[in-house]
Amino acid sequence: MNRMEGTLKPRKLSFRQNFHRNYKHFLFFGAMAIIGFFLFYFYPIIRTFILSLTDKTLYGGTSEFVGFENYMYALTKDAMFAKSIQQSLIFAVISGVFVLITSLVLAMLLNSKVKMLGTFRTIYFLPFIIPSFAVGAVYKNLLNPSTGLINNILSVLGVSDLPLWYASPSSALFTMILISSFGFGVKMVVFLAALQEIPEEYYEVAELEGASKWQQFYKITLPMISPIIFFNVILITIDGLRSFSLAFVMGNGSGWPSNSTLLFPIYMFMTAFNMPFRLGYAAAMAWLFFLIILGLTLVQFALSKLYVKKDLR
Amino acid sequence: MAERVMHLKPYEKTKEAKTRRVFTYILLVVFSLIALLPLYYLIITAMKDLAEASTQATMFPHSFALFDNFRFVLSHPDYNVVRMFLNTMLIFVLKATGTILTCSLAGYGFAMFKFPGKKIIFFALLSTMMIPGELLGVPIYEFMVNTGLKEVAFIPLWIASWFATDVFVIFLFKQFFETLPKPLIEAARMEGASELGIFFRIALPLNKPAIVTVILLYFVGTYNDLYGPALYISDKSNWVMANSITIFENLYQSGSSSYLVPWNYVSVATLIAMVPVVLLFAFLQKQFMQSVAGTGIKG
Repeated sequence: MNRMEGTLKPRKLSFRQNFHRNYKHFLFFGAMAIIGFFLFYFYPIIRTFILSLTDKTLYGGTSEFVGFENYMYALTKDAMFAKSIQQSLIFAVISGVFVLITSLVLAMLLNSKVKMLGTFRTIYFLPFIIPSFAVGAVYKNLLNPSTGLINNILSVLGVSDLPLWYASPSSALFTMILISSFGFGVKMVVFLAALQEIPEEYYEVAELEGASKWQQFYKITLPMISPIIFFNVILITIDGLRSFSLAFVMGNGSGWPSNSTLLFPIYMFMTAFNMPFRLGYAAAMAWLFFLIILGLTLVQFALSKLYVKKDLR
Repeated sequence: MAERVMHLKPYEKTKEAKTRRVFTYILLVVFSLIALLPLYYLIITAMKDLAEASTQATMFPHSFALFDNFRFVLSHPDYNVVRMFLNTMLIFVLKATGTILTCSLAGYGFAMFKFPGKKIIFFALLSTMMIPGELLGVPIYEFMVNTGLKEVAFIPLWIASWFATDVFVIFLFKQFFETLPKPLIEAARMEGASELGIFFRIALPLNKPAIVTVILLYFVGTYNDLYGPALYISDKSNWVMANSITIFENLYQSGSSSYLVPWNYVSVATLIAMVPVVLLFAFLQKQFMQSVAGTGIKG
């Protein structure tokens, strides 16, 4: 947004003139967005907060004001809430790190003037094209403890203690993290574009100066793409905390086996939209969840000051 | 420094560079195999017969029942795939049209007009990207149930799209509109074209890559959405593509947690569900790659 926007010469206009030239038109073009903001963001947020202070259920006639009781219950008594938040955090952080590293490594591989770039890029994009509900089914098949291909290969290789993957509470979350680590498609393309923007001369000069490939990566590549890394980290974290579809498929919609794949969005879904539709309590949990996401995002913004190098281009 | 330059061979040809190239290709191929393995297993499982698919993990099928599997899947009474596809498409078309129309209008407003407070409004909108849907879903669900709109014409699944609620898309369009040549717009204004006329006749047609991106993202998004349908669809005649696979996953379910899954039928249903997405990508891949890359850089 560092470009001069709009059609104006940088001459001072009175409010009246500006209104006729610009404001009026903006209000016209942006009308739906402004109405939408109030209908689908502002109202629901306020309403969720009001609900969170009551014990309302969807079909129960009365609802009473309970103050911050819902919040206190979630924070101090509800073990499922704690477990789902904890698992969501583990899931988001570990799969996020995997996705970040694989998408960067693949983008760098594709950026090194390889032949058949298009073919490889399409292949790496495949996991993104396969619908996510199908991905769950495919991996359930591949990783099936008794009939899946992976365990079959492992037993041929002589592994006697075959892992139970998604069928055992101790490994189900890890299995889900492993599967979601292949969701690097879009991030890889974004990284690839960023890498291709780095001027070739930088590397040529470094080469002449005798810098090793590792030094080139550390001193040129990383700083140059650090804003994009930050962009991807924010997106990946929020995606991870909010992921629903895979956990819904893997855990049969209820965190099976024994709540080990219960991510927060699943638990929230179960509370609000299954019997007995505890809207008030779900609203309180949603607010707590929002505060956690907000906190994490702020921490990431603070951390980004340490590694994001601006104005290098 | 000069004498060192003299000794240096062009780095592409050094031995070290060669081993690095080989290593690069090996890694590329290994990752390709990892990415292709699920697809391969999907295809061969679709070929197996029920006994083999549900009890053995064979790398190459011993049985060949592809056509029987297709026949079984297509003749299943609940598997009304045309209906499910059309339902999904209806939701997709309504969502994509609404989003493209209203978000491009808003993006144009932000890109073309300048006034005090614009940045504040834009950041207020951008900050909504951080708000999880979980925080917004309960009141909207409550509203849909109370007004009886919950299962009318899929309204809860697409209505928000007509109010420019996808800030990412507004952002995408804004970035694209800002690259439009200003003299073109000025010239049209001089000739007395209305602002709306300029938008529909000049600005929007020049923004095909952004439109293509939104179409692709929304197609995949609508296709992949489990949350919306799980929440707002209960009637069998309203089922969407996501339901087409669960029919077969749960075919032999009998209450207990361990049951036989007919992977051959599941795989056939999965392959059928993939066809539209693969076709769309094949046609639109190039524009999509360019424009995803474009927004990434500017973001």
